[in-house]
Amino acid sequence: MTTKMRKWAAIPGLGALAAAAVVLSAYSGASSDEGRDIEQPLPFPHPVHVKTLAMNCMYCHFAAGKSPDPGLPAVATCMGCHITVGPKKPDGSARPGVATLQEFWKKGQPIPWVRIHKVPDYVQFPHMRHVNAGVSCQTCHGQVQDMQRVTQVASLNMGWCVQCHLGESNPPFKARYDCSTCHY
Amino acid sequence: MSSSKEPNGATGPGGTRREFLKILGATTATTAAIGCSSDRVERLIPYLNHPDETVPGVSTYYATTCRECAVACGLIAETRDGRTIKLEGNPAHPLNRGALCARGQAALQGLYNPDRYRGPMLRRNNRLEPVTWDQALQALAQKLGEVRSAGRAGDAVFINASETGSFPAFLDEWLTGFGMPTHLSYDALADISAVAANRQSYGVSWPALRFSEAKLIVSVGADFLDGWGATVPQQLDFADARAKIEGAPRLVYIGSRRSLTGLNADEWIPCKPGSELAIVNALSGAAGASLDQAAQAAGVPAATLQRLGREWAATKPSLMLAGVTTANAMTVALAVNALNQAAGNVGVTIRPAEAISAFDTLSSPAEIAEALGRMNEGRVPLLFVRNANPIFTLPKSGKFAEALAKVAFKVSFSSYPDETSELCDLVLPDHHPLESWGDAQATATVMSLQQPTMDPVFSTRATADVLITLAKANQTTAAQYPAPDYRSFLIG
Repeated sequence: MTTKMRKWAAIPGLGALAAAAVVLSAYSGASSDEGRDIEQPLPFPHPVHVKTLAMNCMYCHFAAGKSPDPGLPAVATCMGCHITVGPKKPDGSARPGVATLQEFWKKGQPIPWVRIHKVPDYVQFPHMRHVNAGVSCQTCHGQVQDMQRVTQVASLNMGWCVQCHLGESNPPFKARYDCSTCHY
Repeated sequence: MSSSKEPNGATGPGGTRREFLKILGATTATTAAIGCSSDRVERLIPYLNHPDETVPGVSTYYATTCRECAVACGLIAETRDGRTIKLEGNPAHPLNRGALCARGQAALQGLYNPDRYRGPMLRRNNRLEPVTWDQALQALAQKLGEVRSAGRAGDAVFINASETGSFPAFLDEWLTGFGMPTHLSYDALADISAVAANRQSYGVSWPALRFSEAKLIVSVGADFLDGWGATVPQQLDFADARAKIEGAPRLVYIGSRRSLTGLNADEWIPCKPGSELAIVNALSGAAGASLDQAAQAAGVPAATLQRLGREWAATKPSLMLAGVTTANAMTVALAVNALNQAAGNVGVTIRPAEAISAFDTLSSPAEIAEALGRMNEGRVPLLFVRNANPIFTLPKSGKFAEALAKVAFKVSFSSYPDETSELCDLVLPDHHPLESWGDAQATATVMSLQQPTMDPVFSTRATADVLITLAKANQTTAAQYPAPDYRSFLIG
């Protein structure tokens, strides 16, 4: 009887340990979505667009330099090229995803992309401040130009942010890091 | 219950504790499993076509006109990602100089009101049912045709909110084109007695009030700090007056209720309701009026009135306002106007030459009563009501609902379900002013333009556009309406 009771009594202790782990992991990055493999409604190959066709990031993410929001390309932006660049290459091989894209356009529906990068609502990440300070997209988003399918590379947690604001990144940047810099 | 367990210390509390811990353990595990799971999928929905000249996350600002009351202050509307999110006064507008009252600030609550009509509604089987715009307009066109062929168009009634600008004249032209009488201009917020008295005394409905020119302000029930008259310009001017380091006016408030103006006054003279006229007459020294009688009628010490009378006579320039709501309101307002004229305040603190246009189109209570009488006699075949809710705002003794029931076909242009629209046969919901084109006349020399600050939330349609569509479909009126819509009509 007493042993049984002791066994159960350990549960609140375990609960407290779990809570502590959650709090610590928020700083360590253990709870972030790094590396999560996510399937999008249609395969968008960044390498073809960025490397082969040499398109600038801000052709599609047009607001990154002038807004807190980087801007998600409208379906019309995709169709600017894909109205003529169809689902089949001249040699007959397939361009995967283009048919799905054109299908969305024909139906007049936006593409329901799955969000990959997100900081909590109590954190502000104004893209234009970072872009205009010369921080490259890859600093936070990784080598997107090499990703057939985009995944989250950096932890995007507070410790990671502060490290860069302290000037410990390569190349080094220095920015204010008091609370209200990001939590406002 | 518990008393039976308490003596058994070994099993009772132990069992409870065990159960508690089991539940706690299970809850913790469940919370951990659900809360820490990272499989939630958040979607990013892009535009299909990106609207021109907008940047996501960056606001666009539109200058437009507030239509929450007839005064029509200038607005700056902040719109982000296609949604208007904040209104402020337009600092460049001569009337409100960047200020905006609480009612103006709250205009967004109307824009995003969850109860708004999603589209037109037609009464079928004694219930308002959603219909398409084509069906709704066809129903109205048919009814218009019936009324005209029966030769009864001259008995139709159109009640529109009192407003300035191009719309009232546009509406009257449309009504005349269909053989109907001109519209009634209705405003539940306007001080109709003061407006009638002003028209009689000064020839304008609302002269500009210059508080800043006065040395003494006496308000007889006029709650100008809480929405009486041309709220924002008056309050701005009063604030300027009181901000003076030297020569700021003293404010005396005479009224039975200590209103916001009464609370802010230097002196509140509480009087019995309905005794205001006696006080004003005593102050003006009208024939047969004595201070003692007035003091007795008002329940105010005679010495107080004597002191006020001396102060009024000795202080120039001054300003007296009347805003009582008793049955003799117009008599009080006329007596106050006469006092101001005698004191030489007209042209100094009261400026008819710089009049506010807000109440210029306002119909008199007699005109409203005449229409109500015709409705009651069952002579009105067709009634339109726009931006007004007479069932709610008219006194119940007016029996507007009963009179409305005797009208054969009732059309409402209300954007929201209200007491009046719910009893109508056809609802053609108007755009919210923040979704509409328009204009307003603030004063004789100030014209305020109104533009949409965002796309309409629901399937609503500007009343002016509905009228143009109906006129175009009608052979006799079509030629008068070459413009495709009201915006083109305004631009000319």
